[in-house]
Amino acid sequence: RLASSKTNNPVAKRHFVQSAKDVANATAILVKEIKKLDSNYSDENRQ
Amino acid sequence: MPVFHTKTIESILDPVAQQVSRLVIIHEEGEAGHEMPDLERPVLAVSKAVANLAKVGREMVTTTEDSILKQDMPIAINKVENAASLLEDASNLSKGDPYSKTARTKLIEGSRWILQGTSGVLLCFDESEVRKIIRECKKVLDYLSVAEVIDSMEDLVQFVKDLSPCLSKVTREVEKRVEDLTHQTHRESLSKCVDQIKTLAPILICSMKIFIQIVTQGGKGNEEAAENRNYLASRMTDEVGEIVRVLQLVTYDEEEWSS
Repeated sequence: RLASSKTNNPVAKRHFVQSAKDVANATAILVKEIKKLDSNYSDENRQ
Repeated sequence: MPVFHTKTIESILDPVAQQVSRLVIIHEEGEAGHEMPDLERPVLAVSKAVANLAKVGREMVTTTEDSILKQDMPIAINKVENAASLLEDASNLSKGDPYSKTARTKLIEGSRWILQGTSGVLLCFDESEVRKIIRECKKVLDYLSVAEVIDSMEDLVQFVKDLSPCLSKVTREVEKRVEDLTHQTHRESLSKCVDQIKTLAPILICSMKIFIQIVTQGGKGNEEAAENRNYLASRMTDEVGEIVRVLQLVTYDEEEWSS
């Protein structure tokens, strides 16, 4: 009973969704970092 | 056409999906044969976030009674963790050789898999949330199936007492779900079913009452009354069944909906 009430807990749900959001955000930042170099590289090429 | 079937998942994954797909395009165009920046810090941030998601996800697995979630979630979590290891590998490799092609490929693959893995974890959770609503729908269906054996006022009172909380939970949860869905046709279909159920429920109870009154008072027309009641119960059963079906759809199939 306690276990099932825990999973129904909206706080636990929000916590879960937030932690997935954190992964997505951290990945987006990483990808931007990787790409930043690509754009620098292209700029250098053009000059 | 939206890619993700709920707004919650879309809001989480859409920004990163766009970033990753642009990165993949850049990589495929072969513009990326140059020195890589030190990615230790952003990779570490991803690993930390993945570790936290894995922790929260595994906690969820230990506390849930949903056996499918128990089975699927650890697999989905492992995939994200593997993707994070790939990124860590890439970061270490590129430290030694900033021009490493393997590092570059691992970075792109890792980012892609993180996206897919996180999507998988979110889908596992979403499916389990849908199963919760479906369980409530099944309870309603069970109650509806006994409507035709109710032949006294006491039983009818009990019937209404049992059915009402389940029914209002179903309509409430489905209305909430409709708000979160991205496919317009699924939203409209579910809303229509909920509206029908709200209209039919009081009429069904009324028809059951009329049947009982006729039977207990020995009046005429009990067959017609039973038929009317059964018709209403089956209409409601159909609507709840349609809710169960549409709730499980995650993609939009134009052909299916136009037929």
